[in-house]
Amino acid sequence: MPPPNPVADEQGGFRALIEAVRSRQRQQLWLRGALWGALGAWAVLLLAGLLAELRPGLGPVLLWLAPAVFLAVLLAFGLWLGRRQVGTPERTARLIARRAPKLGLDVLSAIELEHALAAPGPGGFSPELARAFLRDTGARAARVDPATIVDGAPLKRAVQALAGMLVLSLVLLAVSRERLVTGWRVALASSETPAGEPIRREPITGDVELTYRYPDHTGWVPRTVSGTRGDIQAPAGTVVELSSRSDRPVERAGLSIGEAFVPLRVEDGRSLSGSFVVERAGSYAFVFQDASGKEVARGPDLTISVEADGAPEVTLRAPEEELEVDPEDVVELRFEARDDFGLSALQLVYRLPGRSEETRVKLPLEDGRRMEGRYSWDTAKLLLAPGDRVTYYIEATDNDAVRGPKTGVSRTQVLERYDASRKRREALARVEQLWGELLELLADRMESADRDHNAESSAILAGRRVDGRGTLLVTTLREVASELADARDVPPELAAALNNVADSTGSRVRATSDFRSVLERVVDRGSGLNRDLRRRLGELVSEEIATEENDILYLEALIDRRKMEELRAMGEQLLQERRSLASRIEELRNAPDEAGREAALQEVQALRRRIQELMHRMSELAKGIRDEHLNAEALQELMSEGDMGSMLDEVEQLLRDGKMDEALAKLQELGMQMEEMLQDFERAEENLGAEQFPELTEAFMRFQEELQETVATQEQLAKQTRALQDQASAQDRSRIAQKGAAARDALLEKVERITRDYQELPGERLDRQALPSLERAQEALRATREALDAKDYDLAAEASRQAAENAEALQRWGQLQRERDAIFFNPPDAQEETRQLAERLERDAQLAREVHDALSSLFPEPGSQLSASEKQRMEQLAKQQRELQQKAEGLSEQLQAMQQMAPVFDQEAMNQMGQVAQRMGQAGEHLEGQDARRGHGEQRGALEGLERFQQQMQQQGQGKGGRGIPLPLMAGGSPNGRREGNGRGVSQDQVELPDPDDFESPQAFRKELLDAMKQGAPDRYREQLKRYYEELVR
Amino acid sequence: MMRTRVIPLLMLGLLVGPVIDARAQSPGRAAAREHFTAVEKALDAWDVPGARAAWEELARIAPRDSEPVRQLEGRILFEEGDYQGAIQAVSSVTDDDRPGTYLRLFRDTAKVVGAHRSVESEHFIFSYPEGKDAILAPYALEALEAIRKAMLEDLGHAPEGKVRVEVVHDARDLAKVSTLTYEQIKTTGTIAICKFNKLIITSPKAVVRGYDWLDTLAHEYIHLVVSQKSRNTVPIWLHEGMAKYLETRWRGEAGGAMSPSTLALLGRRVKADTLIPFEKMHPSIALLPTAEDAATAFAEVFFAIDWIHGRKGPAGLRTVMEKLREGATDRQAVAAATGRSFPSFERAWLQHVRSQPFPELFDEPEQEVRLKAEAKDEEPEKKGRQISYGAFRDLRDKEAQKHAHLGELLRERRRMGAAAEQYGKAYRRVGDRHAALSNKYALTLLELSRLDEAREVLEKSLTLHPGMPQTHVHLGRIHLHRGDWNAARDAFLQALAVNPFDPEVHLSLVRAYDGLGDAKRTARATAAVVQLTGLEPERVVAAAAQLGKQDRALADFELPEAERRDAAGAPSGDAQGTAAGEQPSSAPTP
Repeated sequence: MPPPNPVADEQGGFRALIEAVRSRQRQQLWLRGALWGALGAWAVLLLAGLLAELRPGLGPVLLWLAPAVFLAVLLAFGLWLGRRQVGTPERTARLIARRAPKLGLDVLSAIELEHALAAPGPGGFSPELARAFLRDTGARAARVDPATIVDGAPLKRAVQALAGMLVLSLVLLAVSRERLVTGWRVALASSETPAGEPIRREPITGDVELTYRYPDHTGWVPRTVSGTRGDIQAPAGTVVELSSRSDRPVERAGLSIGEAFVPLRVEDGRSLSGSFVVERAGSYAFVFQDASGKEVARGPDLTISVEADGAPEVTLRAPEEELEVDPEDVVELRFEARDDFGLSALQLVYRLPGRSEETRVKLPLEDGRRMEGRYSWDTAKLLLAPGDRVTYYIEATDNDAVRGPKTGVSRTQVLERYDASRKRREALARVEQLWGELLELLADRMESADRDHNAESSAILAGRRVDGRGTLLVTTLREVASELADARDVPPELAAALNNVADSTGSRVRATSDFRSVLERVVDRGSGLNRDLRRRLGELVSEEIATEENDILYLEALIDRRKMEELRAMGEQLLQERRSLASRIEELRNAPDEAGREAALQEVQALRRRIQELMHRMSELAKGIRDEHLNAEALQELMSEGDMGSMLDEVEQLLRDGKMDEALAKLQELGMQMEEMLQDFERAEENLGAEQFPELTEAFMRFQEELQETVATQEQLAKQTRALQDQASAQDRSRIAQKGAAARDALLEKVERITRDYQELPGERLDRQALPSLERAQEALRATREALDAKDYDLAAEASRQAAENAEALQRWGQLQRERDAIFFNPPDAQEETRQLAERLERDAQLAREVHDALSSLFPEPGSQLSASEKQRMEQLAKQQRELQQKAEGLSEQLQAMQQMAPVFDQEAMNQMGQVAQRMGQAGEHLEGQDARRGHGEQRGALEGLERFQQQMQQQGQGKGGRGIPLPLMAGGSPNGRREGNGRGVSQDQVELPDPDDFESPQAFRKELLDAMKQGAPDRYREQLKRYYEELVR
Repeated sequence: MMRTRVIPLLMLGLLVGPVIDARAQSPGRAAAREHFTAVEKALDAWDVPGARAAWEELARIAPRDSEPVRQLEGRILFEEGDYQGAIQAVSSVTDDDRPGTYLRLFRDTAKVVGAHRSVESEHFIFSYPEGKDAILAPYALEALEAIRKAMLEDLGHAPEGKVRVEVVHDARDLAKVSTLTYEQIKTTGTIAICKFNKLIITSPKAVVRGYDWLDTLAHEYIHLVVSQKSRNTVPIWLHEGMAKYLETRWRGEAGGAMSPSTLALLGRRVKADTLIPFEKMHPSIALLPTAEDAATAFAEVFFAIDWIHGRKGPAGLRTVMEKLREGATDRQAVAAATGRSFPSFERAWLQHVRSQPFPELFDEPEQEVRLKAEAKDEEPEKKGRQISYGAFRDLRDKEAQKHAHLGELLRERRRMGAAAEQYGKAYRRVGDRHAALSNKYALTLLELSRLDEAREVLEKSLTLHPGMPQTHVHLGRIHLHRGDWNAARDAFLQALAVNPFDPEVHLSLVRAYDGLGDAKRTARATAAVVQLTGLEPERVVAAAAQLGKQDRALADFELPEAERRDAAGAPSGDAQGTAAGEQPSSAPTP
């Protein structure tokens, strides 16, 4: 065995390392080249796909470029970079020195030493030592992993880049796969040139003239375009006539369109012409052929662009997306339809509830690409039941004769048949929700620290949040009351109740809140809350709690009552359903036929479904009634649909067996059961609440009786006064007019002064108490001025009295504010402002009194023309009137007492009754002063007030005679009146024309006339009208 | 009662006549008549062994398979509890089982009781329908053994052998086995009866609000004792008086059965001078025209016995029975026992009645035992957090009703502070007169952890409404919460004595007995919970251990999921019934 070569051994270690590193470097470079090359080639391929359609010539070039790019990049990396980066072993040794610090430059030194050892002659060093070094370096190099020397990061980056590219490609494929594929096809097609054939893609024709003959449905006239390159743009189906000249003499020519070849006529060896129909987008090219038909030249690709024919567009402009309709309503549909080339049909498409198929109605169509249409849709013909919903839309069809008609539809909209019952339920749900909030407010108040005399100040002030919630709730109550009052078919008592609750609870919440504001100021000033302040707050909150308790219970009783009414209404609906079925069966009995029997059977099934649904709703409704005295379980039992369901089963079976008489008898039995149920509902409804509010019910009945008596007495007294007045009707009109004219200008000046001053009052300083007085005073001043302008001194005197009264109310308010400033320790500047304001109001009140006094003095002494017996009679009437006034005051007190029990009346009603008593007092006063005219006027005013009150009570559903809870009265009423049911009638109220001799009514009448005069009239009637009005008001 | 007894006797007489005539020539004819009469008399005197002995004598001289002999044998077997034997005996001689015949009674009884389970104690056999009535057995047997012991002490008599006690499902079953008509049961509110040598009670599950079934068992047992001891010579008014007066002896002193509401009723009748005379109580108090009349009569005779017992003790009652047995009239017997003439006794008794401290009028109507089948319109009282507005329907004070209603509205919204204030307002107006109001108020106070106030309200309510199981349950929760095991046990036992099917009662008893270290009774209560809920015993123990641990749980009781499932299947009144039947009438057989 030969001994080992020491040199080879010595060299083996580091030489192997160097070679391994170099080999690895080369491998990586080739690999990187392949990756980057693939990336580049793929990018070029994508580009080819994307651009091929736009630039047909570019596609094949790019397609060929892709492998070239791959190869170029591969070689660049593998060869060029390989040479540069791998280099010589010394270069590798330096790389090793950088990457393997433990070896350092030892490998490089080893190479150099090796060279030196191999060189002939002495090297000036010890060979042994050099070999030892080589051995050592070799040994250490053997322990180094070549992978640690070669940097793998560039390779990793290449892999990442390629991966990124792949992701990008996938996205592109997903987004525009079709475009890419088409592009590649175009590019491939372009590149597939028969081998060995010369390709000439330069233009071979010139002056291409195109004549477009469009399809009929477009309605376009033919069009010729000269001097073009040959690119075509037209709708599908267009016939394109084409003519051109070849750049050389040709024997045969044609157009290459995709796979197809369209021959052209060749005249004079150069003139080419022909035609083809545009079907799809793409390209075409001129092709020249020799006599044998062999292609000798091909022109560049020319594009064919097809103009798209889109689907029609339809827009429904009216009505709104969801519309509620009454049974007789005709709905006006307004719509707009458009299409690129024209419409061929237009239809209204709707679907009735419970039907799977759609119904279509042809709509009138106009020529043209765009049309605006209207259609009056008679919904009565749809025979909708309350609550039924119909979905509908407009469908337009275009006239595309080439690819077939396309359709477009509008947004789908809904018609809903008005459902009064649902409206009532919704209103009830809303009221119930507010009732719940009121209950929460009560709980908040009760659980607050307000009544705890030992509570921390901070805890008391924290009640501000509850004040805020209460105020907000009161506002909401008023808003909802107003909405419900104006809403159709909502029971009036709900709105009235909310309004009255807002009044009663509102005033208490305000009082609590205002007082807490005082407490806040006291605390802000650093003072503690003393016992009196705490006690007062406690009292206020207790009063609020008591009011809220009453309001909650009353509102709850009304809600329960309403639910009972709903139950009854549903019961009536059931009965109605039964009646219609019975009629149907009777008809069938009289004229029996199989189809009719089948229809009746279906009606039985439908009735049963409706009964079940109604029963379910009734049951749900009954559950929500909280009245202790209503036996909810018994009610549930009553409404058990089991019995009715089984009876209907029997009816159905009898019908199937053809036993019509027995079926009718069974239905009769069912009807009796239903009627019994209805009677129970009615009884329950009538008595609902009476056991909860026995005192209120009794007080209310007493009030009604006394009101009736008062009205009758007042009517009688007014008649008697009127008789006396008639006897003393001689008037001294001219004398009053003369005196009035003398004072008129001065009075007008004073009225203007007050009016101006009121207009300039700082509005922000006036509170809720002052503003109504101010508004009334301004209104009265305006009426005074207008009456003076019209020389109606009677009216002016009355209006000035109202102005003076309200001015005095404002004066009192101003005084009160001054006192409050002192109590609340308001800042001095605020106190000064209040003082000035109070003084202004005092001055204005003085002026108003002067105006009134002056106007009153115009009239003669009352009673001066009465005989002694008439005067005696007048005194008797005055006495009786005074007694009646006391009775009215008693009524007012009764209202107050009832209000303590429940919010049956609103503030307006209370005021109204107060005013009645006041007017009676004034009437008594006038009668005592022998002034029959004014006395009668006040009596009429009082009577009207009483009658209005009565009427309002009747309108609110009072006086039905039941023992049930008194319904609430909203004397303010709804400004917009009410609508009920599905009808839309006019007011049936009688219009009473005033008697010219009446004092009060003519005053109002004349005021209205004055207002009417202000509204103006056409020029040529102006003078005539003025004279007419003057005559009337005289 | 009379009808079912007399008609068969006449029939039997007619049948026996010819048979005996047929043997008229034989020397035993007179003897047969004598034995026949002896059997009849013994049966009338509630002396079944005597009847058996007389029948044996009769059977020796008359053919055993003759109809009269077999009929008598059937009756004796029936009273001995051998229903099949009775049917066999009678059906061997007749097929007539029209309503009113013995055969129909025997067959109906066998049908009703046929599938019963039974448990025995030393002196009783307790038979009950399979199902949850099983939980009644241990409590019933305990009470029955206690009353037996007490009657032995007081009246000196106890029936021989084991007395049969049968529980029936409902009033219709009671009608079948008692010979009372369903209408009579419905009208009078009869819930239990002592007849045919046994006690029969209707299961509390058939009664809307439960009833004091343990006192009722004791009551019927006393009828049995009195009938046997006096050989059925005690007139009805004395019979009922003694049973009513002594019915609480199983749990303590006699005379504890007079409820404040019944006392109030009596007060009203005294004021209106509409008391029921003694003679009108014949033939049965249960047959008086109205339930109120029956309740008044019960109260009257209660105070008659109270007067005698107060002066002469139990010996006075024994004297009455002995004198009657000896053939004295009721007037003579009472005179002998009291040492004064009957008119004098009547005057003294009336004076005694009038001197009672009658409570004020109650807001709630007189508690009647209302059967579920007849009370569809009656809303069972809701338990715990359940909301019920109808509970205040009978509050006479409208202002109180208003506040109570508001309280319930607020409680429904979990606004307990405000609710408690509203209930408080109502409570201050009516005091303890309205048990449902007191309970709602207390529940709200419990929600607010105001335990002392709640306890006071509940305890005061019990003074006027001692039989309200719900009040006891609420009070029991407080005791459990405070670890007062004795008080908790007593409270829940009181509730159980009226409404035994409330799982909470038994679960709470598990907790209380466990706290007291009474393993035997813990196991008994656990078994009841298992029976009522289907819960595993281990879960029962775990659930019971949680009771009373948290304040918030005081106002309500929630079963674990498995329990709830089973309880849902139970009739609502069982788990929720609260108001005790203050005055369940019973119909003893004189």
